[in-house]
Amino acid sequence: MRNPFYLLISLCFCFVSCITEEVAQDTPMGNFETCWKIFDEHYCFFDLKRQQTGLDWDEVYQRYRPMIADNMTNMQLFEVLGNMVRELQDGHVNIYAAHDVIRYGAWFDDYPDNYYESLVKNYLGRAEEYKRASTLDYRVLDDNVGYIRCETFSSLFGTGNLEQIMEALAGCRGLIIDVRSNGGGMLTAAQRLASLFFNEPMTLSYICHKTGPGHNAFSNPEPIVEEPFHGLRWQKPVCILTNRRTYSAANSFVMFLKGLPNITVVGDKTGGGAGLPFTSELPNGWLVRFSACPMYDRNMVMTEQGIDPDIRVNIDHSDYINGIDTIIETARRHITESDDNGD
Amino acid sequence: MIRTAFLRIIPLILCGCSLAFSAKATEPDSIRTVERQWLFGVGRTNLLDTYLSPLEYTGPSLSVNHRTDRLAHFGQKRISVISHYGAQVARTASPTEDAHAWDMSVRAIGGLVRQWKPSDRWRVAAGGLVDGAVGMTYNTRNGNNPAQARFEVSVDADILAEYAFPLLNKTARVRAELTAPLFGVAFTPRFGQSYYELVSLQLRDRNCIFSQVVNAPSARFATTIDLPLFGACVSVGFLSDIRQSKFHGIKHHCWQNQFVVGYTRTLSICR
Repeated sequence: MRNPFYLLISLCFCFVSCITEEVAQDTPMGNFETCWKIFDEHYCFFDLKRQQTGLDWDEVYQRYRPMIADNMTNMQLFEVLGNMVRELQDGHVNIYAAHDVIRYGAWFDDYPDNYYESLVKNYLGRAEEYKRASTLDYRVLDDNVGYIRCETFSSLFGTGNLEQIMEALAGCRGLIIDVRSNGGGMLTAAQRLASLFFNEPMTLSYICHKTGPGHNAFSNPEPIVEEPFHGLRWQKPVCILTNRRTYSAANSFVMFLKGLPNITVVGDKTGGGAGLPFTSELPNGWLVRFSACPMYDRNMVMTEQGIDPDIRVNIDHSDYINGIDTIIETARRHITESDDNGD
Repeated sequence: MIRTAFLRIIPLILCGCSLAFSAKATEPDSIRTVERQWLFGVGRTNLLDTYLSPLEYTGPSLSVNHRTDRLAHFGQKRISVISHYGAQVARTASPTEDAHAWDMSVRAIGGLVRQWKPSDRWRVAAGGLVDGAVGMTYNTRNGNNPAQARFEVSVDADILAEYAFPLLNKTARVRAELTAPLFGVAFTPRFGQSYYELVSLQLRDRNCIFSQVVNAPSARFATTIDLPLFGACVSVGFLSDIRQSKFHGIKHHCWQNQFVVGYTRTLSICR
C-alpha cells in the first residue's frame, strides 16, 4: 500500500455493493404489499383525502391485509385491491389487468351527464357543415357565436391549427369552448389552447412533486408560466362549457383560464383530477396508475375535487326532448348579453 | 447538445495534456506503439429503475466498443493515453413479460495511465480517466413517466494487466482492465419529479448531483485474449459493465454481462 492509488482503489471497492429494490414475490400477499407500498410512497393526495374523507392509509392496510389469502384467485385479488385503491376516491387511480381496469367513477356516475353527442350534433351539423383542425371541431353558430368542440387533449395542436381557427372565428361576437366529457390528455395541449386568451406571459397554475416517500415530502410549488399565443388571440367573451367528466388536463384547462377577464365557465362542476398521474406495476404484471404531482390554481387553491362553474346549469329534460342543449344555449345567451352590454 | 459538447471536450482535454507535455519531450527518433481494438458484444442485461418500475427487467443486449491505447509523447515511455468509446442497447422485459424497456447509452472515456513492465511478458498500468455517458431507459407501457434519462461525468480509477505468451510461434496476449468511477456529477430527477416539469416547464430541483462510490458504486471489467490468426489479431473475451446509482431515493442498476469478439491492431510509429 505504498502507492496511495492502490489504497484509493481498495477503499473504492469496499463501498461497492449491489443496488437493488426489495420486491415481494408474485403471490397474492406479495402483490398486495407491493400495491400498498407503491401508493404509500408515491401517491400525492394523502393529506387532502384525509381532510376530505378521513382516509388513513395505514388503517386501510390493516383492514385489507386480512382479506388476502394464499389460495385466492386472481379475480378475488383484483377485487380486493380494487376496493382498497377506490378508498382514495381518485379518478387517476387505476389498476390495469388483462380482464378489467379498476377505476373510481363516483365523480361522474353520481351526477347528471350534462353532455349528449346527439344534442351537440344539432349545433355542429353534418360532417360537411363544420370544420376539424386536429382534434378541434368548430363552426359559427346562427347567432354569430363561434363554437369549438374539444373532446380530448390527447394530441398537441399545431400553431397552424390554432391560427386557422382564430381566423375563421375572428368575426364572431363571442366564443364557446366545449370541454364537456373531455377526459384530458396532454397538459401542454391544454396550455397551448389556453394561450389564445391572454396577451402577456401568464402564471396559469403551480405544480410540485414528491421529494421522497414520506406523505408530506413535497418540493416547493413552482409556477407554470405560459407565453401568449404568437398569432391572432381572442379578445372577446368566452364561455367554457364543463360537466363532471371534464377531467385531468381538461380540468387544468378550466383551472388555467377561470377568473380571467372575458372568461365564464358554464355548466356543471368539473370532475377534478389535479394530480399528474404516474404508473408503476405489480409483481404479477398489473399496471398501477396514481396521482403523483399535485397542481394548484394561480391562487394556490387545490382543484383535485373539481372547479365550480360561474354559471351552474344542467341540461333540462324538456330541452333534451326538443333537441336543445341547455348549457350551450345558456352560454350563447350570456355571450349575446355581454355583447349587447358592450363588455 | 450536451453529449456533443462533452464529446468535443474530451479530445480537447487530452490534446491539451499531450501538447503541454510534448513541449518537454526530448526523445527523438523513438518507436511508439498505438493499439486500437474494436469489440462487439452480445449478452444479457439486468435493469432496474425504480422511477419507472420496482421490478427488475432482463433481456438481451448488444454493444460496440472501441479502445485506443498509445504511448504518450511524454513520461519517458511510462505513460499511456487510453481512450474508450462505446455504445450499448438492450431490450428487456418485465418478469411477467407484460412490459418491455429499452435501455441505451453512449460512453466516452479518456485519460492517462502509468505503466510498469516487471518482465518482458507483463505489463501493468494504473491511472485516472475522465468518463462521460449519456443514456436513457424507455418503458413501453408507462404513461407520464415513460422514460428515464441519464447523464453523468466522472473521474475513474483504472487498472489493467497484460500478459503475453507464445502460441504457435506467435505472441498471444491476455488482457484485463478494471475501471471504476470515483466521483463526478450526474443528472437525476427528484423522487417523484415528472419530465413534464423538467422538459416542458424547464423547472429544476437539484437535478445535478455529486456522485461517488457510495451513491453510485459502478465498475466496468473487461478481459480479452488476443490471438494471432491468419495475419490478424482476433480478440475474444468477456465484458462486465455494472452501473448503479441511488439518487434522491431513485434506485437504478444496469448490469451487463457480455461475450465480446473483435480485433486488435497495433501500429508502431517511428518518430
